[in-house]
Amino acid sequence: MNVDLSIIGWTISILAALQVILLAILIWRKVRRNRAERKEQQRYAELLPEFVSYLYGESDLDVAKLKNDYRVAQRLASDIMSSTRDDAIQEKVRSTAFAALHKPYERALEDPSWPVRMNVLYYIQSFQMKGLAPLLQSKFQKMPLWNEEKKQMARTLASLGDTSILPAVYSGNQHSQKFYRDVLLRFPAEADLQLLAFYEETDNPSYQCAYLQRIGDREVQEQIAQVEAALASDLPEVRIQALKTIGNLYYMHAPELLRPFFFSDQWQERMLVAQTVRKLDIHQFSEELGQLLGDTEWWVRYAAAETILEVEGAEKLMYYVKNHPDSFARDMASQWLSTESRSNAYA
Amino acid sequence: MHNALFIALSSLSAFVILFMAGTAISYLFLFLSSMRKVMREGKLEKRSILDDLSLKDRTYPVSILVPAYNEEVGVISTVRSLLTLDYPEYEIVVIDDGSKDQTLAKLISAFQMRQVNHATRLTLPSKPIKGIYQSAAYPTVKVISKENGGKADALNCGINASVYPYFCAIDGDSILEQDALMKTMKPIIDSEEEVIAVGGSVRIANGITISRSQVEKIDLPHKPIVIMQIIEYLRAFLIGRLGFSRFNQLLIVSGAFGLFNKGAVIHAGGYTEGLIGEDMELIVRLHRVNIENKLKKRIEYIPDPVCWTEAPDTFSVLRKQRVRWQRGLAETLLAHKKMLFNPAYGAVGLVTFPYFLFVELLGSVVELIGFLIIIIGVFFDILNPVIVGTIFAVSILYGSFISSLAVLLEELTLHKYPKVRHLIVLFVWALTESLWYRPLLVLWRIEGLVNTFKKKAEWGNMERKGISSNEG
Repeated sequence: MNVDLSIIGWTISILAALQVILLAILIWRKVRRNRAERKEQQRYAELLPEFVSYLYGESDLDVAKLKNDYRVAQRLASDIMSSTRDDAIQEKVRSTAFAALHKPYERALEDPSWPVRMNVLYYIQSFQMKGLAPLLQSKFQKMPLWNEEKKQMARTLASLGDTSILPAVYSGNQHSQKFYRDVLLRFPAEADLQLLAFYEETDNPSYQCAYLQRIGDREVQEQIAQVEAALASDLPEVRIQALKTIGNLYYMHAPELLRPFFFSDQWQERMLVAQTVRKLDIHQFSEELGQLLGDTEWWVRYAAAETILEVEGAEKLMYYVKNHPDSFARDMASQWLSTESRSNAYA
Repeated sequence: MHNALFIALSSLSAFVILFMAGTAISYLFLFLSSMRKVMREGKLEKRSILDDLSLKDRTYPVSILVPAYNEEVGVISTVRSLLTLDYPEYEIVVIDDGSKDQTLAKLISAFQMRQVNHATRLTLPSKPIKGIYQSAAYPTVKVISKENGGKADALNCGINASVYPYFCAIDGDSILEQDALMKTMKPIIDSEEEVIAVGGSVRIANGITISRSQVEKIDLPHKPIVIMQIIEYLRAFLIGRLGFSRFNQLLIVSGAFGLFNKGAVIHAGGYTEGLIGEDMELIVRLHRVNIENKLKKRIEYIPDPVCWTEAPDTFSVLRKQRVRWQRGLAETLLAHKKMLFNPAYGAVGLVTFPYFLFVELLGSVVELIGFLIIIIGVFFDILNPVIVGTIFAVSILYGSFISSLAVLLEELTLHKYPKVRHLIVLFVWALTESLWYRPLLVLWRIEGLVNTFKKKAEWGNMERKGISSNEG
């Protein structure tokens, strides 16, 4: 019995001792971390005025100071980049970031720790460090699996303008629409011709949709011909994307191409055509909009009412409140008349 | 007779020991299974990832639903804090569930609300709406005044009136961190909408300083009862939920903070009225729908996005809360008892559901038996001291050890509490859990269990003090 009690006692004591040791380690880590954060904050406060002064051409900067404190340098560059839209300042930040950080980042890309590598990929993208593109390309080609790291690498390389990744990214249909679009969105304008060439060669609908989305995101009105051609696609997802893109461009050559969408089987197309008419302020579809106001889908009625209000005016909507044969249509018209909200229905 | 009693008590003791040891081991398993992922992702630089996410159209717009019943004290702060969220597109829908205080009047006044017509879709049944108001100053804020129907009914009404494909349900006295919504949306975006519900962390706001509806300073409260709740929440979230989420077995997303795919919730029938644990019941039903329809959807918990909420700071209010929670758990498990040990429901039916039944629900009965055995053993000398000692050791392991591990995991991962003093205070109090706090919880949980069968109904009578000030 004494042996049994002592075993229990020993067990409790060992568990307690382990916890106390663990606590001691964590206290020590916390003290160290707090100290490091205070030191970093102090260094940041010291370097910030000097860095800002350098960016605005008021003084020189000894880059060695930044190289000694790469975390502070990273933070300075990141904060300035997010707080200014001045292209010249941003370019200066990028070149300074490259000078101060490319060596630590080269080492970090080989770090065994996954979060370290991922963080660096985000920063390379953020600071547009083109000088590291060859190293990234080499690592990208060697990675066999499409894991999170490889996907981020693809995004980063796209942001650096590397179109050599296109075949690897867009072969087969192995990725999601969002990923394809993420990658395409990041390519700079200089890559447009190559992206267009790939669009014309490929029959991958995900790439087609992503490309159309890019046109809309970047508001490249010169490519409206490709977008209008996509309205005739056999694939609903491509047509839907084309409608969205036209909405984002606020422009099209031939509005008459929209007419079939008022009678589409797909409610998303009916909704989007109503939104597109509103965005482009097209006045030739009054009757069709009145019909959409009584659509079976709430979202379509919502979009139609909003469009009627903006394109044709409150008087037209009031007419529908009183005269539309569909009660849901009358409700929706009444809602839009009473609210000043212009929240957009999500497509 | 004496022998028979001894044998019965010894057998019972063996059962208690095995039960509690097994549960403690399961917690350790949950802890270890989630630790690697949490530590890995904890080292990612959140800001650059979130900046990346906030690029045009990467996120889905969200309707934030705030069901409110007699929340005049905290609702204005809550809405103001929601207006400062760092998220591209969202709306705020407060549902005043027939409050008897000045909740509606205060909202109308604070946000310059005016009554509007609204073509609300009656997708889910709910009590009649009395009026809908929209803010003239903040057009994305609207208030629905409706007849009282309970929290589930209010949420269903909010879902009907919301315009976006995702909704976030939060409590009327909660404060979300500025980037909480963005962080919570990340798993949905990364998974291409395979994730249909995400829960974040709920943290105790007592003791923190809130300025202009934002968390300014994090500190610990002075009252031990609140400190113990902090520890308890760390244990429940960082060990329990994280572990279950890792295997897509999460059965609860806190009603105080959860993000949902609206279509999936509507497809599952919305929130069930008349149940206290409507938040858990919805998640269980989402799992059922997923499994029954062979959908490959996931429900996840991520520890980083934080919602701060007020915790009870008196024993009487805490007791009412815990009794209600236990009732909610019991009602949910009863409502879906078909899933228990049913192989058609996979791991949820064979592992997780039984776990919640035997550990979370009935575990309190086993613990009570354990406490009684210790008392009998000490005062009546019926049992072998080894057995009594073992039960005591296992209850310490089950309670205090696991809780102090949770405090350490918090320090390893999110380390929200900045000072060394915080770590020591939480750790020391965690060690006392089995000696006073846990026995109280056991008694209240049993009371909740008894009440389930007596069917006492209440919405929740927590006395609100507001969280926009230091707790003394």
